Amino acid sequence: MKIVALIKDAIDVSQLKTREEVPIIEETPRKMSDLDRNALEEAVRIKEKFGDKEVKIKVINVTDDPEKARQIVLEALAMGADEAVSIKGKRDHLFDSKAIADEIRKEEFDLIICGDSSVDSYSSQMGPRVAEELGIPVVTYVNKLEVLDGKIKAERSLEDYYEIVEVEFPALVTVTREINEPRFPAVLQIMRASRKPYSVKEAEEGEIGLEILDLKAPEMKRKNLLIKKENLEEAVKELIELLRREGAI
Amino acid sequence: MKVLVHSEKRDLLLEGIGVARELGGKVICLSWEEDVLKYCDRLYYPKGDYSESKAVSALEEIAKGEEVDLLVIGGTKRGKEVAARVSQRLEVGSITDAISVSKDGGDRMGYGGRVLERLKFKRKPGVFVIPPGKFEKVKKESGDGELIEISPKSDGKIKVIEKKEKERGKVNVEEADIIVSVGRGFKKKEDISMAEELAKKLGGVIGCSRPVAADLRWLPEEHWIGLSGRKVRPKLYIALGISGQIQHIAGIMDSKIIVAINKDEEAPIFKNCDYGIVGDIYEVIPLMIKNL
Repeated sequence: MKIVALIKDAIDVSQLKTREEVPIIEETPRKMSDLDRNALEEAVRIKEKFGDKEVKIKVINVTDDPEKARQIVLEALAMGADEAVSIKGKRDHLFDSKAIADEIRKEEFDLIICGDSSVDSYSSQMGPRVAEELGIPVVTYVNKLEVLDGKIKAERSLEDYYEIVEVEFPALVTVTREINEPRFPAVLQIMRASRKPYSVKEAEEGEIGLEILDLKAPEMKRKNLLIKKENLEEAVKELIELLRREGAI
Repeated sequence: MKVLVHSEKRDLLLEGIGVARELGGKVICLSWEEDVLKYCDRLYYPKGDYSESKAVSALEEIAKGEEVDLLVIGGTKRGKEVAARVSQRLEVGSITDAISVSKDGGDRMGYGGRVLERLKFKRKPGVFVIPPGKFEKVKKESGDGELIEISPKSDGKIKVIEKKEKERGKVNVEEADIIVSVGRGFKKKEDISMAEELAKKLGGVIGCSRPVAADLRWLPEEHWIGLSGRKVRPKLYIALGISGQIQHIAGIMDSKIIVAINKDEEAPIFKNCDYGIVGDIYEVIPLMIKNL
């Protein structure tokens, strides 16, 4: 069985750098997008269950900067993937999904897996777009996954209910954070992973869907007033007084 | 101009039609509910049950046949999938969780809700996915719309085996004026009753951060506030023992006043609150109840 895990080198928004209300994306560190880590973890667990010979995992990363993505891709290999490709894309859903699909089409595959959204953009577009591009079914928001003979059984977590579905391979699955507790490989394991096959490619020319006109980081207009008093009860009284004055309670 | 609107949820569909009316031009809908005809100029009404695949193929066909300029799709989980799929078929860009819209593009909050992205469509039609509760529902009935019955194709590859209802209460945190929200600072499930007492005293409802709903399952998911939970805009939001991860902040940023109680002075919630008290929730909550 061949599994393809899609891994985004997401901007680590908790370390977002800004200058005069303008976010400096290029200077902000990156990390493996959280839900993509869950997706890869799920792939590795399938591999562990069915055995190393039965299951091969290929990681595909599409990035605007393969150099910055390198450490993250190595981490994915260290988690248990067998090979990896970074494709230089444009951080555009239309363009990048075609680039991913072009790479996937080169070989036979059974299951493609990725996070339901990326932790920086949260657009929830890439999985369904790649599936459409390949003409295969997509099962989104999966929080339980079971591989059966030639097919999968998945539980989707929707707003009001769980939906349990079955679909034959090949298929694409997007996972939620609840599907598993992913592993974080040690530095030494990540260094060792550099022996595994890892290539960097350029995407074919193509159209983009959206143009970014500008980015702004609006200052949070919060008062940030820490109420400090002799004792907690005084602080609580002060808080209640402030909230009453503002008409909040 | 023609705007194609779709949601499998009635409220969100009406919000989508509201957006389309603001944009101007003809409003064309895809809906499984026949009576929404009175709000639109043309309704494509599919026979049979809803499925994502049917919605995708119907939208693709209508968008091409009618040569629509824009699509507005309700941003439920199903809706987001449908929007991404139909955008790929039409080979266009799509703006998820748009907070403002125009015929050329729109704005959204990206990077964990910390960055306002202004985006422009490079190809036609542009696709908007609108978050629930952000835009006004259409009120005016237009009257003489045209109904077209269709039979959209389903790819038939996905077999639905079972549907299980999620545990539900009666709360709607999205509409609450006051939310008392609980986080990992609570040591056990029973302790949430303290917060419930406080909420009752304030006339508010209970919300929670991700771990409380998703990992510990102490509260049903409808209480979960954050980027993957509900986004709220109350007049008063009280965060009790919530550290304030960026995904949580993104769900509460439209709150008028944010109060944070946490024993860790370094907790990020204090950088995103109006009033904060550094203290143990197990002491502060009873004091709040007593002094209210």
